[in-house]
Amino acid sequence: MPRAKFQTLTEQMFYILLCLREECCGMDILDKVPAMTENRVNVGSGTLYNLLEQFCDAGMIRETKVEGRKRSYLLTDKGRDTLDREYARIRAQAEDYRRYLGEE
Amino acid sequence: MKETKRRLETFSFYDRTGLEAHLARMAAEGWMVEKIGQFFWYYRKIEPKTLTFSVTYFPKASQFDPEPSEEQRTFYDFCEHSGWVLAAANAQLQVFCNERPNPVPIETDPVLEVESIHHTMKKSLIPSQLGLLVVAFLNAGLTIWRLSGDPIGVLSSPAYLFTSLCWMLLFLLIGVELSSYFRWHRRAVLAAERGEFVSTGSHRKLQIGALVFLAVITAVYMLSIAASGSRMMIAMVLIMFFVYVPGLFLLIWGVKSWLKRKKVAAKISRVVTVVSALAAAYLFVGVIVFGTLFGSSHGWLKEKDEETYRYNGVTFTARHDELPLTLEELVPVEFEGYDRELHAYRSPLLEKYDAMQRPRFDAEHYKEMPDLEYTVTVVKAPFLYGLCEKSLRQDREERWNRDMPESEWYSYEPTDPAPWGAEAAYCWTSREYGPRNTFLLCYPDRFVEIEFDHQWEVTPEQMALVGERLGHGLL
Repeated sequence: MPRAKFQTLTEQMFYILLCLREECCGMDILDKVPAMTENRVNVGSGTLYNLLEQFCDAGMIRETKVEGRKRSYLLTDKGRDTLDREYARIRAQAEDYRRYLGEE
Repeated sequence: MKETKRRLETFSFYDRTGLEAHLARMAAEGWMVEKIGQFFWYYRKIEPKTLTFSVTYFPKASQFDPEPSEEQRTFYDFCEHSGWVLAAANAQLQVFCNERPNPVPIETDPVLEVESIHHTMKKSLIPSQLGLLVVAFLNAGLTIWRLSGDPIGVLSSPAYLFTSLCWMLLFLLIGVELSSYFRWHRRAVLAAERGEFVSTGSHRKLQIGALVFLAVITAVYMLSIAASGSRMMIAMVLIMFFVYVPGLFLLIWGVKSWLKRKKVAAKISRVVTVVSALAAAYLFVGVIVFGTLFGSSHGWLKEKDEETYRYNGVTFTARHDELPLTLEELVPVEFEGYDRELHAYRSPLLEKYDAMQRPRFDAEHYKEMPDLEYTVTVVKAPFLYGLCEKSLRQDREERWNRDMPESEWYSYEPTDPAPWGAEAAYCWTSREYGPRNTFLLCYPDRFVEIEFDHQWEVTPEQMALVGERLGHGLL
């Protein structure tokens, strides 16, 4: 069954939103994500373009600045909630993992 | 040394896997794609090198865009930042290349990639191909319906066979293409949920086979029209293949290019292009109809040996075709003034010859002059023999008797084939009036339907001559 949009986030969505806690343009994100994950996660340029558009449409980020074709974005409250919820979910997963292994 | 070349690429529109591999192979051979045209892909010579290609789809783009939109340029900027340089684009199809080793792919989320391809397909190819599929399906249905009613007429007509085969080919190609796409899409959606990409594919051998088949049937059709010697048919085919179709394509391409150069907005450009294409299509048909009528009235399209005469204020045509069997050869004919017509329909499957020798209305004794009519159907594809026999016998009886009282029904009753030199012979016989002077004669490779005047008593010598000329002779 297809997952409901943004109910849970993929790794790439998570890191893009995380980048956007500070004002960033698309190309900054392309550089930041591999840097913050030690190259473990890379976001493709087409994927980033589509996700930025979808996050904007969903009200999770907003456009803050337009300089020619360079557009900057920032996380909205809704986006922050989504990011926090995802973080809580990942943490809960990690807790479950630890507890399960600890009990064994 | 050629610096550029163009190729007809037979990949499916959504086959990014096949296209990426092909373009990388071309670059390794020293050919870089630089433009994607309406029919051809254009390449320029480069130093052979290893490049990675990525084919992506930008659903918001349109073939009517005067230039890439701001959004599209932003997308290009993102790609360039990752080392992907735009090599060529056509409407939604975008081709990028990258010189870096192991570059980060443009699409790293399979769900988004499948959505993007599907949006593009829904916007462009699927509606137009579904429309064509419906038209092709209706045409296939019409062909089957006509084939069941008049198989000889259909199978002996090169024009009908040609158009029917074209529609069937189109139906097959679009059917295969669309069903393959939907199958791929279903698999790709499921795989994307697991984070996997699914390779795409094309039916290149089928497409190449279809192109070769189209070239062969077009050549056969044009040759058969040329061999028919009919000026009207030759003129129509020449106009269709060398004026109408290329003219329409050139006009659409010209209007689209001009509007792009003038930087007209995509929506206006689409409307203007569609309206001008429709107007031109109707205008061309109007010009052709008018030209044909004008040409006919001035005798430009007159068949050779054709003349016109007026009788009681009406214009009739009369011809002097050479007939395989004439009245004069069967009976002593005392009068002058016959119209002799032979109409030939030749296809690789069947040949049909309709011949008649009738008195002209302006002949002095036309009411007393005998006449003769016959049709010879030569079966060139032996598997059609049974179908032709059924059509000539049973179908004729059914058609003829459909609205008749049963007491007056006609049927082909067996008669002695020996005098005709035939394998079987049938006489058209009415339940009420008895046998008529119409016969169906079956020979190993052909059928002859011949109708004599009702007062004519056909002698064994005349039957033998019919068998010799029409049943066994060259037509």
